Amino acid sequence: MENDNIIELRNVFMKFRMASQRVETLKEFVIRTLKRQLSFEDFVAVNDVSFDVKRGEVVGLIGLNGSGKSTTLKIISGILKPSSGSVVIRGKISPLIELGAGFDFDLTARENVFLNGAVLGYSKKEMLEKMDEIIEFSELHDFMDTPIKNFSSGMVARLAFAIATQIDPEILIVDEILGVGDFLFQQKCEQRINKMMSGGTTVVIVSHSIEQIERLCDRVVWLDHGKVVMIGDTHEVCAQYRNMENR
Amino acid sequence: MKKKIFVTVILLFFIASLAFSIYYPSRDNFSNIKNGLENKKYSIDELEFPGWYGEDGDYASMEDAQIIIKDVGTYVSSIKLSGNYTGKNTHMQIFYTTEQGEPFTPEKSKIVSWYSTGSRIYIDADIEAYSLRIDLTEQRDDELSISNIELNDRTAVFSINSIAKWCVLPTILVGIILFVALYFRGIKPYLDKFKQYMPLVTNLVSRDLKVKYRRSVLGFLWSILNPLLMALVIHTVFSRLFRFDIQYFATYYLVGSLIFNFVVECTSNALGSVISAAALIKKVYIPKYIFPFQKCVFALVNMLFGCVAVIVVMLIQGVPFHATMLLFFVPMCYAFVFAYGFGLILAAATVFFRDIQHLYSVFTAVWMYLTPIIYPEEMLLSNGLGIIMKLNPMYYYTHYLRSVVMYGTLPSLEENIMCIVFALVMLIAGNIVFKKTQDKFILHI
Ligand SMILES: Nc1ncnc2c1ncn2[C@@H]1O[C@H](COP(=O)(O)OP(=O)(O)OP(=O)(O)O)[C@@H](O)[C@H]1O
Ligand SMILES: [Mg+2]
Repeated sequence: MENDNIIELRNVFMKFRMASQRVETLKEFVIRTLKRQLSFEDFVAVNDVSFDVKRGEVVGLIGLNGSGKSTTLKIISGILKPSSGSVVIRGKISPLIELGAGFDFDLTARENVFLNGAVLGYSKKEMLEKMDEIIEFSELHDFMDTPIKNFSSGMVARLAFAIATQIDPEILIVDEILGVGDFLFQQKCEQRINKMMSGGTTVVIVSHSIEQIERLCDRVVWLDHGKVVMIGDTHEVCAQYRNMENR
Repeated sequence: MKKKIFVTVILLFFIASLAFSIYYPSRDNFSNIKNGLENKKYSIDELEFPGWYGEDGDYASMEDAQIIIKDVGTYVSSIKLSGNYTGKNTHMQIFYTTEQGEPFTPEKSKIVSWYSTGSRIYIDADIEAYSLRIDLTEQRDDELSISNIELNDRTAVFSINSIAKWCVLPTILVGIILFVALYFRGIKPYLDKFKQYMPLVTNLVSRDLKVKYRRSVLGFLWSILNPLLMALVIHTVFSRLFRFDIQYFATYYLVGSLIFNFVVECTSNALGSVISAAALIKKVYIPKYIFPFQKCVFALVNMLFGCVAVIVVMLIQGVPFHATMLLFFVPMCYAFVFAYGFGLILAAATVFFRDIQHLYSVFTAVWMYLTPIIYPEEMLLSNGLGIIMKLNPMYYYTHYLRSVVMYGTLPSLEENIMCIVFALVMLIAGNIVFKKTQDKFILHI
């Protein structure tokens, strides 16, 4: 492998249009154009972010609410296209951005495994092979044929996490969802991540639990107002981050 | 490697079907071609000129000169002579037979007017005929120089055929060349990705089907019953009230509306497809064209249910079945590509401007009335709206399906080309629009 950077972000900017200034209809568009009121103010959610992630690394993103962590993860997963800058991804991604992405809450857990697999680009046959492991890991044996609208949010999280990790992605992206499960399941997830890590999977995690970040990550990126404050060794960055909190 | 063979087979099939449609003798079965508007061209070798002397298309008339066109077998609305006629006649008498071997008799004749524009002479016929005889009575030494005769030529209105021949063939050639070039350069990753997301398409389609049919008590039966009832209403109302001169009116209506409704369903479902997939699009990466595509596949499945209704009505009305029926999928494929391309544009536009939805429902209503579905195709022509008809892609798709299903005829090369051109242009335009805007979708949904 001539390049062991599996993720490369270079000078990435993400600009959002302020919701109040959005033009939603053709009528509005025509009227505003005629009145010459079509000027917009952009909000910069990610501001000139560059970092690399090596193959097999576990990287954490930390920062206060609204600092652009989720937005950065969405850019890495390809959900958002950056306004400028370049993103290079060299592997298959399994994103766990929000609970229940690609779930249909009227379907049963089993049907949702296939649906979620299809959303991630896996066929029914491939999912069937992984079904047992998914049931095993999520511990939902008795609930596989229940519609998931009757699930607790922790159960949905288990199912989602089980699917996302069992499809053997090269890159796993986790956004805060580990906090939902009970502590036993959290431990299990961490074990699973550790196991995937030793199997060579790259993981990018967002969490507000600094302890969790410290336990899992090799390196940490600290974001504030869309900018990178610090990148480096987990303990150094986390120590600084804690310091800031104390101030 | 497999894919290369696949593409080659498709291209070969395409070429073969085009070739087949040129050489297939589509001139028999005349009793069914009541509204056959296809253009037929006869060279002077295929005609007979009793009462003339001269050769190579330059003739002078003797007593009772005639022109005989055999093997017509269709409804003839107009006749075009390419050439000059220097006579004082303003009227001609046309004799016609309706069966093979029947002699020309004065009972079956008609005085018709004609007019000439430069090197063309038009005769208004409005006759259903097996063969025709044009009489120029009691004029001696009229001169006629003629190169060919065309039936049902619409050049007086708008010469789409000549445009088609000159613009369309190069377009298709360029399209095929582009396709092949793209295929061998960069298209493979796209195809792989498309294949990867096929399970999602099937999953979403089966979910849509479940939603659609779980709700109604009669389930799948309803989708067949619905067009049947519609056909019954249309049949009683229209054939009693307006008395259009169309054989098997209910079938005529049903076949036309089948493919028209298919396109409307594709496009109007595709229109909202991206917005309603917002939850997914915001959380996972999925190629966004999957959503309009999935809606088109869903509409296709529904149309196949609708086919059952068509067959039932055909059996009830005793419409003869033809081998050409097996080609029903050809116009459906054309319409699918067209509708998908159009759906891409609408889906993209709706993300930015939500009111497109309302505008489009008005548009489809107007579109339906401009397409010959509940009225005969001649009605537009005779009202001078032929140009609208010729520019309306839905006319070609409905006409195509009716030709193969009801009349047992194969549409001409030109018709095929027009169908393909509309479909390809829409597909390419749709792809360009969608590709340019898709990265911004997520900011607006
Ligand atoms: N689609 C959008 N349109 C407009 N603004 C957005 C959009 N998505 C995010 N933002 C803005 O971008 C900023 C960063 O949001 P982001 O979700 O990345 O924060 P975060 O770091 O994940 O916060 P949290 O810790 O609360 O999850 C926020 O101020 C948010 O309002
Ligand atoms: Mg977040």
